[in-house]
Amino acid sequence: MVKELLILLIGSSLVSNVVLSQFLGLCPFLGVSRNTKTAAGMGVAVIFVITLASVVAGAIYTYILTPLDVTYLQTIVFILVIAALVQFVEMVLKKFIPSLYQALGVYLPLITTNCAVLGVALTNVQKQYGILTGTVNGFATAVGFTISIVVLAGIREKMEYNDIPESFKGMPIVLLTAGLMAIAFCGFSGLL
Amino acid sequence: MSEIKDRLVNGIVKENPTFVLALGMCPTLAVTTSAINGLGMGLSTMVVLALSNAIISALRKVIPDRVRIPAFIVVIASFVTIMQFMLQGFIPSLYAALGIYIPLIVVNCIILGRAESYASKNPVIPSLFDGIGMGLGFTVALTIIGAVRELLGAGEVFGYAVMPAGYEPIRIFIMAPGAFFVLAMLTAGQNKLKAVLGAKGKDVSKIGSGCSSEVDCANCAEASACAHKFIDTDAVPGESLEEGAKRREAEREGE
Amino acid sequence: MKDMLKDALILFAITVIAGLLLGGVYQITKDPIAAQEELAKANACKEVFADAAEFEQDPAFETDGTSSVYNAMYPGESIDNCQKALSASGETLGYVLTVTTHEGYGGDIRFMMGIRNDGTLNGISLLSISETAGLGMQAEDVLVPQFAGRNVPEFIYTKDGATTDSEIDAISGATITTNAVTNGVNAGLSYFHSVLSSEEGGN
Repeated sequence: MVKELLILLIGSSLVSNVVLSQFLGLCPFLGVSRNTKTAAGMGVAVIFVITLASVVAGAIYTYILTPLDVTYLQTIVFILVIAALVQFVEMVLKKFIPSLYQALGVYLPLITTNCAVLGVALTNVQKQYGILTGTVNGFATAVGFTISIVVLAGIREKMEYNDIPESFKGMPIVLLTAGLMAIAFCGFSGLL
Repeated sequence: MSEIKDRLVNGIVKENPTFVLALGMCPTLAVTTSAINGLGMGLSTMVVLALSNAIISALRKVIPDRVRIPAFIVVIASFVTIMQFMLQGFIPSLYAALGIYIPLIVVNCIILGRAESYASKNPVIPSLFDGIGMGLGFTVALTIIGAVRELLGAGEVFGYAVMPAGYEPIRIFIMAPGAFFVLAMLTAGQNKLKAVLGAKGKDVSKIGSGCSSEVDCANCAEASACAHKFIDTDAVPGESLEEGAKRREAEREGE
Repeated sequence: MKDMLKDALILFAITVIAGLLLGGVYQITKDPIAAQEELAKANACKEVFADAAEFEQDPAFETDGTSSVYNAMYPGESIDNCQKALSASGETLGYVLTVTTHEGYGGDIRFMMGIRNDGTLNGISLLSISETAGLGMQAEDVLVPQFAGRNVPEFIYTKDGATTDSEIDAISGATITTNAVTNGVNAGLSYFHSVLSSEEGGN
């Protein structure tokens, strides 16, 4: 069991990286990667939300949707639950841990309708992971997201001093960088 | 009638979701491994977009502004699930090819964005055609990108071998990195076009207005459009969707 | 407070209507979806046993395979079904097994395999697989053709280039997928040799 979870940890974070391999979570990846500090903040927020969402979505699927035989409602239920959960977390943070809210709170509404969160919840169901395995998968996925967004931010910070052709400034050069990162991450496939 | 034509031309050309607004990047990169996949995804999204635009527009005086996001989600997710069943039952090959990206149509920024910016304050028929127009624009974009990737990465288009027999397919274009490269080149081309047109004095404010500016999400003025709260605490209680949308528009123009 | 309640009620009403609508569509599409799955299975049968005229459920197939030899040797696989491949005149040409390996990287991998009476593996046909794109998903192109038309009791995979009939070239970078599929095939072959051939009187 532990061996499987370990493989899952490495697999979901590096080998089939959520952004560079599965193309989920591109909006925050491209939009919040300008400097490493904000990138790290976004990364932590994503880890928080996705892990929590995996647990809740998994529990709802196992204990409510499946026994009632309404698994076809999973898409609606998951996204509604995720949206409500994120706002709830935001409210709790604002009230009880204001410092954390300052750091992460601004990103939380951006993550609500993010494909990465819903994508992980749906993947957990599709691969028939239990609640524990699903949560590990979610956590690993989010860690992979954080690794890639922080690396990209580091590269972008350095690129500020480069002489980039006019048409490539902004999105194009970021996408090219992401493409090169994707190639690099392909190398991880040898791990497994 | 001209309103309808307007909506269609707008969606396909003037405000093309992919080439102009740069919205909905996730499916654009993920499913364009071949022209037929791009076409299939585009059309599926178009159907969902058109229908949800129509329903949301029809209910715009009923949906409370404060809980508009969950209302949008329920409507859009229902149509997506229906689309999923239809594909699974009648076009299983497309269902298998698109996989998890079918349910992810729910969180496609294009659909939520159009609901928020157009369907919430316009009548049903124009909203329906706005959805069709945007959807067609998206389909055209995905098909083109898919065709380019398939051509370079497999030497085929729509499954037909097009490249000469000696052509060695550049596999990377079918894989993840290739998607980034193709989109990068496309956006660079778009920037070049923007510069050229701008120098000629044409209005280029719409190009790339979705997301491709240099501004960080954290400082982005449009972040409130991407940020979705389950219960919008900034909305006026008791206002319907239409009233709230019109008020927000007035506030924005007043700035 | 009253506004909150009104908002909640309207939202609830929209959700209930949507839920009912979805339930209805689900009922309507349930059968076509099931039909599609049946069709896929029938096609897969034909693919692994092209010269059979029809396929018949093997009445001796036990779903509870705990007593079978293969289950002890291959705990990570399960034989879901066994069908006889019959010629036009009704004689048994071989068997089509439906195998699920639980050792896939991305979940279960289901496939069918066609085995002739003399132990020759006609080939395998993947029914459902969700491995990593570009890696494990290459199973269709890299692994499947290697299992066609060989007659060995067991396969092993190698990363150094297959030299004998019982060796399979692994998918580079997707050892787990390769291992899963190979084990699944071996489980099927083991089932064939231990259970099915003895039924036939040790053909």
